[in-house]
Amino acid sequence: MRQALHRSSQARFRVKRRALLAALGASSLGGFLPRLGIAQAATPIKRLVLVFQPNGVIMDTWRPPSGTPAGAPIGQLSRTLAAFEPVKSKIAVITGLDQRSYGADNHQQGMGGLWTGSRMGPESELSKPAPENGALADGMSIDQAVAQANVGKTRFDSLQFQVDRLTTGGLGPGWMTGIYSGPSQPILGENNPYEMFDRIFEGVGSVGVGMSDQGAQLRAERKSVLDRVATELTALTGTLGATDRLKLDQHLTHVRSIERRLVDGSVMGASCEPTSLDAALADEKEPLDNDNYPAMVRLHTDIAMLALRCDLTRILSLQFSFSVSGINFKWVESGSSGGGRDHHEHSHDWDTVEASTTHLSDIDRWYADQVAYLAQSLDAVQDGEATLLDNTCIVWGNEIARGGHTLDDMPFLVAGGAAHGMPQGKVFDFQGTDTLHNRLLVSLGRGMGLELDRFGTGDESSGGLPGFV
Amino acid sequence: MQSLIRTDKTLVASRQRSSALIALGLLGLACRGEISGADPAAVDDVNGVPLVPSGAPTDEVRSVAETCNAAASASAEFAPLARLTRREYVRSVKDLVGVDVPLENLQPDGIVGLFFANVGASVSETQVDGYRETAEQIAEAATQDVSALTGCPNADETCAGSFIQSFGRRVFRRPLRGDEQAAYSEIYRVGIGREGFRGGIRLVVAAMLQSPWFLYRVEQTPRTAAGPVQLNGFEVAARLASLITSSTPDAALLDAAESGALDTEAGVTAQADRLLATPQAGSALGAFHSEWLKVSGVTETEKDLSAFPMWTSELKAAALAETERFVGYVLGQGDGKFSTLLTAPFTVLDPALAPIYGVTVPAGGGRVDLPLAERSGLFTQIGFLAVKAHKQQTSPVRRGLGLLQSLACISLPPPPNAAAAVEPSTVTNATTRERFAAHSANPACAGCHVKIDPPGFIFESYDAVGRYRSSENGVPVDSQVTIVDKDDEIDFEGDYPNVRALLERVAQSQTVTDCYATQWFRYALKREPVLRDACSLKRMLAAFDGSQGKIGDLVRAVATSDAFRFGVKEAE
Repeated sequence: MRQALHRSSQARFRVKRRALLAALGASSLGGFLPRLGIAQAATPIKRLVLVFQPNGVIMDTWRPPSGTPAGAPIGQLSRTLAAFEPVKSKIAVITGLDQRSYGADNHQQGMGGLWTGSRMGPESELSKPAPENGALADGMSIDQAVAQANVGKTRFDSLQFQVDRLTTGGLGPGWMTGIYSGPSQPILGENNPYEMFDRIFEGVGSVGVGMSDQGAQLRAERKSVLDRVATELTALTGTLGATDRLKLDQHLTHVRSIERRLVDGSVMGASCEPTSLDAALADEKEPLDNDNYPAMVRLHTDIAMLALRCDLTRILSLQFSFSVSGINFKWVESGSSGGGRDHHEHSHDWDTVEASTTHLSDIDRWYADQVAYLAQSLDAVQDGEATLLDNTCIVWGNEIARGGHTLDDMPFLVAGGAAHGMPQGKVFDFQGTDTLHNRLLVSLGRGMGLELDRFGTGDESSGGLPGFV
Repeated sequence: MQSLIRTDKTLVASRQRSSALIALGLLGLACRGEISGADPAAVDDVNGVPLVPSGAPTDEVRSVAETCNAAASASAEFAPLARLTRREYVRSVKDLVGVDVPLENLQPDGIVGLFFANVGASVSETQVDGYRETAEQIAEAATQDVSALTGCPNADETCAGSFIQSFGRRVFRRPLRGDEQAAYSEIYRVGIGREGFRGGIRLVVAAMLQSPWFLYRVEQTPRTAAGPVQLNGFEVAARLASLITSSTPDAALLDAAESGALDTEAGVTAQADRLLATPQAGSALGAFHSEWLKVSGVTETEKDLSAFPMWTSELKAAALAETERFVGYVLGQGDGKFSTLLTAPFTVLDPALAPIYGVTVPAGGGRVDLPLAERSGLFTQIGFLAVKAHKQQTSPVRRGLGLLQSLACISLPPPPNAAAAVEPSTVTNATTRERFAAHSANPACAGCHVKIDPPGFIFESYDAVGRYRSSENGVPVDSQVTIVDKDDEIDFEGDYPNVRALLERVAQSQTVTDCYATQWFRYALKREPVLRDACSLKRMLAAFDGSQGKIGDLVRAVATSDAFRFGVKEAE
């Protein structure tokens, strides 16, 4: 018996969700007719998408040509934002918002504060250098506030896509994610798009085994296991103190959510047939390879859009890399002149080395192209009387303002969200008004139906962003 | 050299030291009053106060905690429920069913100081789903040869019952209760619907690996008493296995727990000694050191491939393995001393690293002697030197800061944001030292960088991937430095001609040995030491000193400390 447990197995395996599905007799993913449908509703279903880009931007090429008063119609787009031309009438370009700094490193405060509007802490951690600095945001992020007010309406209350991250100890979680389910409760996203696809779509349409004959047995097996896990979590919870109870309660919530998804007879969104990405998914690439970054950004984005189109979630975050990102952008126009230096290294020379300024501006434009692709793609999907973009509020933000690593005059862009009451085709510059970005977060929450006056720890004034909902 | 009685200079020197002094004022109270256990409520005011907000305990603990003795030091601090780290999960699964799970299948860990620990944040839904899927995969692989796994001749319900009992005891780190045995038997019966017996066992394995009793290190005993209470044998066993093997208790350790042997200090010592002699210990203690120096990050460290084409995934994996194998070697075949880790003129190499070191490596790898003048232990290995460098050039800041953090427990704050643009660009025809001269010239930077840069400059004899070099851009490397102690924090200030001279001095430094012991405390307890821990720390320091710096003795001392063996419930 014990020998068996100690057997020196040579059986190495790399977990392959897709391989598992095939082994269990599931149909292959190919060969289905696209049949994308979106639930038609009397009032439009509203979605929220948070998009993150790191390391600040070159404001001279990001900012719309000067001289436009707040709320003015968009005139000419800047060099960086040129790709938004086809959806220009549906975006709001926002500059001049400040994020409050609380003594943390600005990359770190910006990462944790961008979507939470909250300080990083505790204080004792802030004085430590990066590798041992465990500071976290002291509040939940706006997407999670919305998600927690809409539990169970879709297959996933929210989804976190995360392209690129460190896992082996260079930086703590506080530098890796902007999404928080509560104070000091960071949510790290999934960085493997193949895993993400299978997780989202198992049992949807013809994907996976959930709906097959084999599926009945598998569902029974998973039900028995998840029920047991839930029973044990519940029993344990009663024997522990408040801090530990919170952890197990959260764990139990996740188990219940997984059970609803994998076990319950009716799978929400199951009628959708997500086959449009078969080719990209079949051409599997190493997710963390620098050179695969463009392909990973695109694949994560495509999967996210598919999840929206199938109405499997209405709230998601697309986090492109993380604070202090070290991606080497060889593929942009000035990539060959990058000299082997990465995004963050260049960002420190943003105003002193001309080649870096140019390269950084090209990086910004590359990111803008990705967000514009998302917006345009959603605008091509009819959703009731409007387009999916009209019913989706995309917000694109950055953890710092520019290479100088400041938190004032932060660049934001809102795309779509007509259904949310977001301004369409407008430019807003809040420079000189001491307006904190918390008020934008309030507007995002209000747009999604929350009754909010303030959000996060950073805003003494109340209300949404002037000119917004 | 710091001393217990400090000068005014120290009081204003830095925030960190001031905090330490405030803590010091309470320390006597902690060790005399508390901790008899007679009236725990009386000392609640010191509970949770950080003992060493930054820095090693050093003289405070050595001098003030003299009143500590076995009878009067049953101290404990609330330990939050700890979810397994990625390494603990992977190694536990390996030990339980012989299956290798790739580390990248699990989400990144949280941190306590320099070490991985999942004690704060709740688990994410992505990870819970990942646990489920990974458990299903492990169960599939582990039951390929189901009779080997169960070990019984007949594939029947009796066999399943005995498997549930014995396997469950390993996975849960305690015997199953009757209702649990019944529940998992029911799961077995669901599982036989697919592939019969094998399917049943497979489902049991998959279920147990998703149990909170596996995924968390559950400690319920502290909830049963008002004050500090000794953890039960199984809870001590789980801590011990985590500390020494990064895994789950083996059968012998569980037997010791069941027999009551782990209720005594002698019993814990005996099991700690047994575990320290296992091959898993060398590897797990190696992993402590790779986290301590952040060499753990080398596999995700990128270099400019046009300058360093040899920087491949294979080489990075070999660099991580070097540090962990070297530590295992010193502990298993060497003298087991901390000083050897810092000064050894040898390492343990994979052939992939031969070009970096410029040496011949035996086929399959192994111990290699290195030039005494070129290499001196862990801090001159590829992992540390490459992680603490930029993609194209070295980083005296990262290396100096890394040395001060890991060895002296000095945590200097990040640079002010306004002065963030500090890293000089590569400029040809200049040495790194010249490029960084601005740090000491600019008063805004000098305050910290006069401490950071010298221990960084001493590593200028190594390029960004850790190759030894005597010149940079045709200019001879100047590795001579003066280490200063302007804030009265360290005892190894002085002039050093090269890195070996510094590390040989550091290996004898009390600042450094005290810090090293504190790092082990953080790692073992997954929390910062607080005032209540003063006596535990004092015992650790005494054991370490008494054995002339044997790492095994330090690990045994933390395992037998009150902080490790006792628990207290969370203040409600």
